[in-house]
This record gives sequence, structure tokens and C-alpha cells, in this order.
Amino acid sequence: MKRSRLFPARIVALALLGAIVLAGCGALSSGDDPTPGPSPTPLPGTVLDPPKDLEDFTLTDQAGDPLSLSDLRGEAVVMFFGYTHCPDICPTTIADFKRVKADLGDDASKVAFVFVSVDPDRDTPGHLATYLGNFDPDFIGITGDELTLRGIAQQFGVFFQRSNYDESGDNYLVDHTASTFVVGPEGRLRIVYPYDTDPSIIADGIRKLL
Amino acid sequence: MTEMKPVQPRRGIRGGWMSWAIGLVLLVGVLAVVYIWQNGSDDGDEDNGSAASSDIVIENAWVRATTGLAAAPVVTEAAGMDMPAAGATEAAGDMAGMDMPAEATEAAGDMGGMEMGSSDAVTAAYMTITNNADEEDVLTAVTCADTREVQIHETTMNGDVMQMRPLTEGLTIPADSTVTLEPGGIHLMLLGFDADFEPGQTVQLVLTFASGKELTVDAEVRTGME
Repeated sequence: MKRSRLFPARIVALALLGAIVLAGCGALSSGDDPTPGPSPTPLPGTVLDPPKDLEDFTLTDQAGDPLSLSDLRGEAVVMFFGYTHCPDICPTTIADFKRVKADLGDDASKVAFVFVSVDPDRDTPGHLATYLGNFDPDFIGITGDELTLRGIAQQFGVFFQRSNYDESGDNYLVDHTASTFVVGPEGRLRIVYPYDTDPSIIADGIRKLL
Repeated sequence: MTEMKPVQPRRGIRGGWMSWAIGLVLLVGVLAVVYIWQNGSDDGDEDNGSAASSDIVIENAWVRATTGLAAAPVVTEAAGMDMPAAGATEAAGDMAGMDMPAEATEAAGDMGGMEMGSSDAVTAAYMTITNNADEEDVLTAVTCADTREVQIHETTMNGDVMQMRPLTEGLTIPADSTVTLEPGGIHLMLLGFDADFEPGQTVQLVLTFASGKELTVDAEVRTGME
């Protein structure tokens, strides 16, 4: 008698368990993500302690004039290494710079936003002027010869390398470090933010240096 | 009564085994029913779509503007920083620690339809591509009447180094899946165009798939800072 009572109870329990497991699986697999492309968790960036001393360097700005890092002493310098033929990461980061600048409000007058082109063959000063002017004419664009750029990149731990993808060689992409570097008003490297860091986090970091 | 005693445990063992077995069969049954029901509901979705081309659905297509970004309002927590274009032009002459000659100031300020803004510029298009079919499909080519070329690209991060590569084999959209083209990931690179892309414009892209499907998509030009 006892057995026969357990009989259906066990069946029902198993069936129920199965249904629950399945419902769980179904919910997991057939979910149409409401938020495509999960944004990475905000990272605070890497604060260099102690800050890294930087050797001064001179490149050519979008007006065709020489510009040295030391010319920007007294301002925080937000730097990004990229190239204007970059359709994705570079414009996304420079658009983020606009957000950082807006977030800084009045403090933005003490901050220089600098785009260092690692593609001097194509990024002439005129080209940089048009490209950056489209985002914010206050943004500074600088580039120079390959050797000088290599030296600067080494100081910042930046990698860049041309990558040809067709025979002509006219069309090429440039692999490059996509981090944002913040140099303090005293001229030392203070913070490194990975690509896609929330602009408000970068603005907060800069504010602490001013 | 005494004869039943040896039978009792035997019945018990068999009964226990039987109940588990039947439970298992029922479990498989429930699994099968739910599986069929789920597939059925997917088919239902397809049927609700607009006939033939509904196997592939493209949504949220946009192209990053190549002009008009400087004047665009920036959306952040700190309000009131939208820079009018006129003010921006003036600001160009007043660059931090720089002594810009007049002609360069003009160049930086008057960024609209310049030589570079056109044939030598690049931009990107983004969207979501959903494949509702039971078989994978491959986006093999994209054309745009406004540009010389459209390349399917993937950006990957190798540590902190960004690498961008053309997807020469095309972009696979697995069965019953959505692939999102977004900044920092897969994108369409638009290169070689005579006129700048202004926010608010619409750009037509024609997407060709390995299955032979060809879809025309209206992509909105945006600053990407909305």
C-alpha cells in the first residue's frame, strides 16, 4: 500500500523537476537579449604610483607648427594614439573625449585633448585639422616622423603597426594601443584608461590631478 | 500473511524501479512536448514577419556622421555644454599653447565639405542582423551608392591593442541568432565618398547574403554621441 502511494508521487516529482529544468534552460537559451553587446564593467583605470617621468618630445600639430609636450605644462593632457582612417575605435574614443570635456565643465579649460596620429603618411596636418575640427576644434592633433613616434610610443608603452590587407598597399589598417593616457599638469604620466572607459570616470580621474 | 513477507521487499524493489522508469519516460515526454512547443512558437514568429525576406531582419542601422559632430550637443550628466558651431570656429584660433596661422584657423573652423572630408575619409555603419531561419547565413557583400567601397570588418582587442581586420570570408549569422555590429566590434567600414555624411541623413546599404537574399537597409546618419 505504501509503495503504490509513492508511485505517482515520484512520477509527478520527476516530471515537475524536468519541467523546471527545461523552463530554466529555455529561459536561458531562447532569451532575446534586451541589451546587445554588454558594455564592460567600468574600470577605474591604472593610476601610476609613482607617476612616470616623460622625456619631452616635439611633433607637428594640425596647424603645421611644432608642439612639444612641455608646451602643455600646467594643463592635464589627455592623449590617444590612433589614425584618422580608423572607422571604429578612434572616432568612438574621440567622441568620448567630447563627453569627458563636457563632464569637466569649467575645468576643461585646464585640460588639453591630444590625438597623436601613428599614421603620418596619410595624416597630414591639414587632414588632422579637418578630422579633429569635426569633433572639436580645440582638440589637438599631432604627428611626426616614424622614428620620433616610435620613441614616444615606447615611453607610453604604446604599440602600433601597419597591417596591409590588399596587394596594392594603398589601403592599410594600423593596429594600435587603444588606451587613453592622462599626463598631469606637471608633465608626468599619471593614469592609463583602457578603451571604452566611461567618460565620467576619466573626467573624475582628471579632476583629481588639477 | 507470513507468505507475503518475502514478496513484500521484492515488490518494493520492482515498484521503486518501475516508478523511476515511468517517471523518466514522462520526463522525456515533457521535454519533447516543450521542445516542439518552443520550436513551434519560433515558427509562429517567422510567419508573422513580412514573407520571404523575414528570415533575415536588420534593425537599428546607423552610420557615424563625418561632419556636424562639433556642433552636436554632448549628452552627459553635466548639462549645458553644447557648443554652437560659430563659437567652436572662434575657439579654433585660441588653441592651448599654440600659435595658429590664420589659414589654419580657417581650415579647422570651416570643416564642412573639404577635400579630405570626402574621398579620403572613412566611417562606419552599425546594426543588428537577426537570422530567423533554421540555417546559418553569411553576409558576403555590402554596397552603398554613396561610397566607393564597403568592407565588413571586425575589431578585436589583443590586450590593450586594437586590431581591425576585414572579414574576407564574410560575416556568419548563425541560425536563430542575432549578430550585433557595434562600436568596438564588428562594423561595416565605408570608404571613398564625395559628400560628407550629415546627422539626420539616410544612407542606403545593400546587404547580400550567401543564401542569395539581398536586403536594402536605410541607415540613419548619427553622431554616435546621442
